[in-house]
Amino acid sequence: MNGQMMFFLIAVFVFAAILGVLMFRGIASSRRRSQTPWQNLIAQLAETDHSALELLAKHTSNRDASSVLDDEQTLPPEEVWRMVGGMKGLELLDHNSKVMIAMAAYVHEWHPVASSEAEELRMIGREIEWHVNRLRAAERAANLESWFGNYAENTAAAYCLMAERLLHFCEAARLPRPMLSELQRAL
Amino acid sequence: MDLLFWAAGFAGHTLLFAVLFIRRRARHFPLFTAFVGSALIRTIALFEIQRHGTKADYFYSYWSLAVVDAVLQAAVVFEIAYHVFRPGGRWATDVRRDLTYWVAASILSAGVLTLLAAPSTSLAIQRVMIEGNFFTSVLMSELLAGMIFLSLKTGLPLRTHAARISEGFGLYSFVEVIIETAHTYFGLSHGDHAYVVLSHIRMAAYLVCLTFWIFILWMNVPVSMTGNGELDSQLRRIREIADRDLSVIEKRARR
Repeated sequence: MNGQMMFFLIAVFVFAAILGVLMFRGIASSRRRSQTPWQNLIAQLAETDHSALELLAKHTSNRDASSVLDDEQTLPPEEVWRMVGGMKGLELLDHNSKVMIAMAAYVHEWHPVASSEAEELRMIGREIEWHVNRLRAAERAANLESWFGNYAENTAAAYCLMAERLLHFCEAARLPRPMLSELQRAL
Repeated sequence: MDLLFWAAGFAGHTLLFAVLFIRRRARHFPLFTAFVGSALIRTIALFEIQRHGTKADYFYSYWSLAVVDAVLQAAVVFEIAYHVFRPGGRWATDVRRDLTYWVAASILSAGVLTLLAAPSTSLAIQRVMIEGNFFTSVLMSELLAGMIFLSLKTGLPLRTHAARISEGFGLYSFVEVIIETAHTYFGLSHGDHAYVVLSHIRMAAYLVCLTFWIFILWMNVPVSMTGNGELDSQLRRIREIADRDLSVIEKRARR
């Protein structure tokens, strides 16, 4: 066996190992997600302080609607931190948004005409992920304080919008009452 | 042995083709149906050419049809991506860039790995043959693995039948990478015994994939999603109503 053949075999082995892991894990995760019953999805939702988040979301929408930004409209960062529950709270919102995307996909499986609503929910979830990723990067750069207020408020607003849209989507898709009630309680 | 594989392949493709039409999967997966149809035509054509034509006729027909087959495989990958990454009828905006990069990276890495391959062959055409097969199998497996990975990352789930087609293709392509690596290693300069044995293994793997597709495309969506019989029957009823409404809308749109 010459050097080039040896190098080729090693390269293929490394490639096949990486690809194999990606593919098998991907297939296993995909199957697990598609076969998760509704109750399991509900159980995956972490508890959040929804009233605090709604208050923050309302404040954000008032601030965005107003053309003049004054001190009264700007919440102090410590207050935003408390209402959201800090970075841990934001991680929970990110986690819940992914569960909500899975729920929308689940409902869409049974009501395929509602694909644009499911897609809208997914895009809001991606927006939440984007905000939280920016804050994770800011935390790593020890710069969280200057970034937290704005991104956290937008995350809370997006989260509340997502929860509201999901409930509306499930109602429109004629999800059975018991399942809808479970979701309302969980959110 | 070759005759057995041919017969089994022909029977498998015929059955799969029938399933696609009987279970009405063909309208959702026209390119996959074309791929299966083309495989059927290819089997018949090559069988006749082998019986009545020369070795050269067979060789050039085989490799011309193999190119068509490779193009159709790429088309099937596109079709699955079309199903997964176009929720609401448009390509998801957050996926376009990632998909483009993945496709470009897949072509590049498949090309680099193929350049490293140096199968020992007696004729240049044999080298092209082995490297061509290797490139196609690496590219297909990368594209499918990338699609599965991206669908998880972006929260766009691979839906039932698209998921199963891509799983079958992905796993078969992965096996093909290993087989084509072995083809490259053994080459053709010392006879074709190893090449033939490895080809038989590849055909056997493909027959397993074919059987998987026949079974899974015959089946409907998984029965229980809630673990609750009453809720499942309500959801099934909702789905029947939605499917019926959708077909009425589609008929009106066609008029």
